[in-house]
Amino acid sequence: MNPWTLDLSNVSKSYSRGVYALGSRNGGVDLRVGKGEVFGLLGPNGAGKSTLVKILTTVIRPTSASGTLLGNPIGHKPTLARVGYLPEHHRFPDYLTGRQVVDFFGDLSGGSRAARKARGDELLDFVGMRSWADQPIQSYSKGMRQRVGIAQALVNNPEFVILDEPTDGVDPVGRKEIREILMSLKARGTTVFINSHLLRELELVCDRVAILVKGALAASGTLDELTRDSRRYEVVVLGPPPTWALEAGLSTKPAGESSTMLSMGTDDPELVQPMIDRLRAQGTTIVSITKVQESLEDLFMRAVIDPRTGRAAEPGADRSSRGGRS
Amino acid sequence: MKQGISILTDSLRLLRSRHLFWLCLGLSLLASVVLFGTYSFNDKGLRVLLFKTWENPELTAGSEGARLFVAYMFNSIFVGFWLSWGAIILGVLSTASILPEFLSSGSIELYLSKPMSRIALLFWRVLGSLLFVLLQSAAGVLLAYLLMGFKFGVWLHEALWAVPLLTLQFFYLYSVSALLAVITRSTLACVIGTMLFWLAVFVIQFSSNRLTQISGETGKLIELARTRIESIEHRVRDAGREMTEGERRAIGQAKEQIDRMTPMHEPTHRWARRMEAVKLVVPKTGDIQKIIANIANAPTANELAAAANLGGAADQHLKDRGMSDDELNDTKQAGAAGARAIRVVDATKSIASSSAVSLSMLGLAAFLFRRRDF
Repeated sequence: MNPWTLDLSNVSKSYSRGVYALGSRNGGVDLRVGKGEVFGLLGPNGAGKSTLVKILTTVIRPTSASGTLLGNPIGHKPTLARVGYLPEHHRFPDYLTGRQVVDFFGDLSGGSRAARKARGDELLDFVGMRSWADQPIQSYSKGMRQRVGIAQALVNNPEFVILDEPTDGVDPVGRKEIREILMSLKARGTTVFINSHLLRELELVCDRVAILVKGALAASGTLDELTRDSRRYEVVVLGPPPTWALEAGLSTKPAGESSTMLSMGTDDPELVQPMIDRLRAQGTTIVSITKVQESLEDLFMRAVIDPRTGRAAEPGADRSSRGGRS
Repeated sequence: MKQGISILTDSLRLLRSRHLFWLCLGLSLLASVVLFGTYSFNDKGLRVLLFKTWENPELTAGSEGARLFVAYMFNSIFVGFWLSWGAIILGVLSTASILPEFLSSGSIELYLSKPMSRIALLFWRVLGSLLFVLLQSAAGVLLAYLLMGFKFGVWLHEALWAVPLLTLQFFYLYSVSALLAVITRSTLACVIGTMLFWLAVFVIQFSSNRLTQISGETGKLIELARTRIESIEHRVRDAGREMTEGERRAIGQAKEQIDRMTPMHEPTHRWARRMEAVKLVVPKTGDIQKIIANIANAPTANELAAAANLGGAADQHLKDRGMSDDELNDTKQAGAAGARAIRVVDATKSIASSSAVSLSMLGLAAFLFRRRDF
């Protein structure tokens, strides 16, 4: 039995003239999401995040795709009864009330109506929309629509929830509340797949992330795994670097007019102590000692910036045939 | 099925939220009340509102003329003018945005991500749009049926067929709107495209009707002239005498009528048959009213005029202008034959061929929708 809730391989989508929105001529994207995980998919605009989600939800047909969602092949319609989805820029019929939106889209997901009805009320309460439930959608703010959207995505008690930009257009208070909803989902053991630009949000709630750049995966793993190589201690000392710095495996660079930064690639404080002792023994003045760990934003920027040009990748998927497979 | 019923319920909510729906419903009910509630029949004739009685022995309460009058008002005015034109135009306008909105970005993702096939989604959405005309015609026709029954004692049960038939007529047009919606996702394109299509269909049907009518009238005039010639010749032969001057003149007039009508009859008859062939490949929206009229046994205007003796003044006017009794009789019979010729329709063939065209368009829409990425 496949232990992964989502197990994708070689997923690609190309439109006319060989322009790839996801993947490339050389191959598609491989991705796995474990049961109960909160998984974040990041990437600049046009990197292919929404395309991937739309392939999962059968909104678009992939050029190539193999793998499974909840144990069934990608594109298997009945499986979608076990999936909840909040699309980006969703537009609910504005003649419906919040409660009717949850009921109606719940009905389309199938299953027992009575159970869904009770769950709908519970969810409207859960997303803080109980008192607005019988007002028409057209009177809602963007944040309120997002909350109702989340409720409709959860009404069929899904095992896998896909939220495409759930905090899009939501003010900071609303974002915090949506984050709390995500934390609650995580606590309930629901597998959640989030597409977002808001790295801070993802950093706070995601177990694992993947970064999609120009239709290809640039990185994937837990935050711990992805930032492990970048963790280091930075020691700023007065004066030039010690003569033994290179021999001790330290990298050096100027830090201001009369200071030097010594960098040691470890996150283990025990390993740093001998260096400090040696500096102190030779009378070097230590200005600061900092433990450095990349944030998700640093990681994202590192993935997105083209090392050859030092500039961020252009928006959109790779239009050449060279787009790589990670 | 449950999902389909949810979509139909949603369609009802959508229709209820539209002002045009309520406006159209109000107009349908008003038309029923005006056409069947503002007059009555008594033992002298037709009583309009409560003020004036138009004395006519053929239109007294319970007479065949009264039944024909009511059936004519139902078919030619209520169905012919309001339900099959006014209500359907409002229906086209009101429902044109339903599919484009359903297919728009941000909306379609919500539907396609559900465990429901695309074909089923489109099918139920189209069915939901048809509710517009179904409800309008059901409300209007039911009120008209009850008014005709309770007020005039004319229980025209066959009139109820107008509800499914008018919905079918709307479907002929909505299939075009559905195809355009899938291709363009534009409400404007749906409205303009459907109206242009309807105009094209109307022009074809109108041309066909006129050709059929002229062919029917000229054919009847030729037939009557021949009958008159044969009748005179028989009478003379049987009597074994010479033809009188009057009979010779009558035969001369009849032959002249045949000579005048034949060059008109033959091409119109030929073109009428060609137009019938062309009509096979278009949805025949105009046939619906004819089918309803035939089912309800509603008279044509000529038949009503004849039954209720409404043409007296016109006949006198023609006689005053020198028309002989024979010519007047021929003209009236030819007019009736022309009007009746238009009414001749093979309901099964018309509905089957029109539905096949509309289902093909809807099938193409479904094919494109099924393959489309959003």
